[in-house]
Amino acid sequence: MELPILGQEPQASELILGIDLGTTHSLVAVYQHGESRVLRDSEGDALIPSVVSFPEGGPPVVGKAAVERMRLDPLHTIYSAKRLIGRSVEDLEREISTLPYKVVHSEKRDMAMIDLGERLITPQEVSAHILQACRDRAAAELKLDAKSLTKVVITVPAYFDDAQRQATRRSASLAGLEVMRMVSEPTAAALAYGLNKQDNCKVVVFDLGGGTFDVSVLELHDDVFRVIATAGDTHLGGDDFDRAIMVHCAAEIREQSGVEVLADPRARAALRMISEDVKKQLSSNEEAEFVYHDADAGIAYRRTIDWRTFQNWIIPHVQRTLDHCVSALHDAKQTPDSIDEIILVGGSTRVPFVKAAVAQLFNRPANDSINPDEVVALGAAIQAGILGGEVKNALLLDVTPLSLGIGTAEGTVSKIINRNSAIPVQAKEGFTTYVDGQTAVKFTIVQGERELVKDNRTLGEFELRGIPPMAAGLPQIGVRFQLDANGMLRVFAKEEKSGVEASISIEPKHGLTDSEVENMLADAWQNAEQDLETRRIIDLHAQRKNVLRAVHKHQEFAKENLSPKLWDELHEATVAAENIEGSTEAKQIKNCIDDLEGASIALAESLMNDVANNAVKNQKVSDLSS
Amino acid sequence: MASPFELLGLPVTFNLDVSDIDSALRAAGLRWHPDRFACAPITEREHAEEQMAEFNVAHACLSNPLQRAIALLEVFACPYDPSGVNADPEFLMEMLEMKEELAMAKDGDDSTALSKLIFDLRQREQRELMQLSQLFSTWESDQNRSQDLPKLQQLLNQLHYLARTIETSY
Repeated sequence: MELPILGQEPQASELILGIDLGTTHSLVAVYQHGESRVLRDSEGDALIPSVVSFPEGGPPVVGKAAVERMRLDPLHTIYSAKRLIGRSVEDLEREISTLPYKVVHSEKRDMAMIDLGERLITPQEVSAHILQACRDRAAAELKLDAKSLTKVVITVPAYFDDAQRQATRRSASLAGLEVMRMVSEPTAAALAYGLNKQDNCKVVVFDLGGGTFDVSVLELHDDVFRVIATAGDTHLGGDDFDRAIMVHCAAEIREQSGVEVLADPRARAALRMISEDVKKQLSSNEEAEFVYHDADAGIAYRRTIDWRTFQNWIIPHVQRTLDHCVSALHDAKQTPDSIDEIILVGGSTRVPFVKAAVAQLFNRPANDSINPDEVVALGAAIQAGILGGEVKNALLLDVTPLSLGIGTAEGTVSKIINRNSAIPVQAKEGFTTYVDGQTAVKFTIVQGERELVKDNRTLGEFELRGIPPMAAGLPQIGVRFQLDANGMLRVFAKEEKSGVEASISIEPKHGLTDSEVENMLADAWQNAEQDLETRRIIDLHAQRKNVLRAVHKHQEFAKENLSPKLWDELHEATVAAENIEGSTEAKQIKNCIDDLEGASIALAESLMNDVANNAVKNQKVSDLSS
Repeated sequence: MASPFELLGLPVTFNLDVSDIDSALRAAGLRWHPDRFACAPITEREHAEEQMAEFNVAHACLSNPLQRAIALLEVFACPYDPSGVNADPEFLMEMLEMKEELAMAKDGDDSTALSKLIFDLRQREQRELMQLSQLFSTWESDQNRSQDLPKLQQLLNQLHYLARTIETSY
């Protein structure tokens, strides 16, 4: 191993981390010694699951350890927070119904919050914990003090609107991190693919993540990456594929057992994990088994899903991604044939049907040579290198995904900055008064492509006051929009005749204010770190007891109905699980739980058959009596 | 205020190469993009944001032939004034018919007819742009510029109309 030479290392405090804050998992990468690399944990894993669990009375648990708590404590284990960030409950109806944890509307903040029972938390707080886990990962891997790592480049979906970008920035402040630049995910991916390639070419980045879809058209020229157009949907991703599987199987379970399985948060969490697993298997196998047992509820469900069936279930979602590709090409004034390369990004592009659909649209195979999970983080690190000055002569020129405008008195939108304008950018528009002697004018700032204010996202409202009384139509009010390189907006208004001015940086409607962030910083982050391993063991024991309780409940039934061999296996596993009481060896406890769960499948199946037989008997009785 | 041509260091002419416009923006970006000032004091960074915003606006303007023409007329102090243009009656008749056909194709959900119409409109736009380019090259070299100005303005007016029609056809 090379020893660092003192004085030649970049100063620790200057190192900027590149973070891919994803819906399902996050990564952290750095640019050092002329290359970017993803930072891994001691087991070699780069992915930090974007899951945070809030055990009652304990400190939050992030990442792998939190994933283990998903089935055990679904109400306090939060995943996909990125889908909620910067949104209101109204925006989220579709996702909320399938989330095992509780999402509520906060009147006070006018935003979606997560109800943990004992308290409400914001999606921003959840993301802040994930960002801190990224920072801690980097500190451990680089052997630096976590406190010295304060600067980050964070990637966001290209199609994130102002409120979502603002909320992401707030998450970073909560985590004590300064965002040096927010980069669009597809753009970051293009950086990772295209750096040091001298050829001038046009590239399409197709980025299908867990929860969001983006497509960007870029022009690469001597290490200058210019985005020409971008399109996408912040509610379209691999989660939709999981949900498609889950909804179909849950419907079949209802038909077979009469149990509305999705009504139970614990079952919902379990079904989601099984669905995800089935989806992953179908990326490399022709078919996969969906197996779900719940002895308590009398469910033993098993179904083979082949790739063709899966394909049919996800066609509508894949079609939407293709529609966005066509619209991005149109905005970029390109055709599929004028594109030199197609880059696949995001774990969901592993689905063979997605790959094939993209290849068909562009009439050539797409490039997925860099791990689609890691490419965005690698690009974020390159952007960090550009900002830190280590990467010379490379530059990223990005665009704003959505048009920005002012709502008029008639309820229509006057567009001030068009979508796909290069950022930073500024633009001005003139307005006047409608009423004689009017001294104040209210402006509604909207983002989106629709003609009417009500169909777009309202980013905020502000008022220009103190206009000297004049006849209607005489005041000349200039409204200036300033959109910075992060895609975030400031608005200025000035009445030219009197010189009266007003300005606001847009506080997201569904976000937090600066002072709220400060208060939360003070409240939430003083918790000292607690031993995670201890937490994990407590959780494992709780899980062990749950399974034992279920088996004990049906012990008599098992004895009568199982074959001697199966009964012995179950009995043995039960005894082993009972005997491990008080152990502090996580691995042993986990093994016992797995064994016991395995041995109880036969019990669940036989319970299920029993329920079914009884149902048939009852029916016959009722048939006779009618 | 500097014209977009001046800002990007490009010759003041209508007939610019798209690749020259793009490479002028890249050069400006490498010099002025805020990413180049990430570690500089905030005042310098804000200045860079403003500069870059101006370059981006100039680039967007010059990349669009219609806006480029309008900016050029500004530079030559004979601004484009749509209200003073006498429209060509023949063109207006043609456009009225076109609009009717577009409406019919849309109402009948006839996507083949619709794409054909949009294709025709684009062809027409290309022809008029060629004409505009020729007209500008003679106009720019002409000492007495007033001569072709009404024709230029009329052509611009038609192009405006075509662009709007195409944009609303989708």
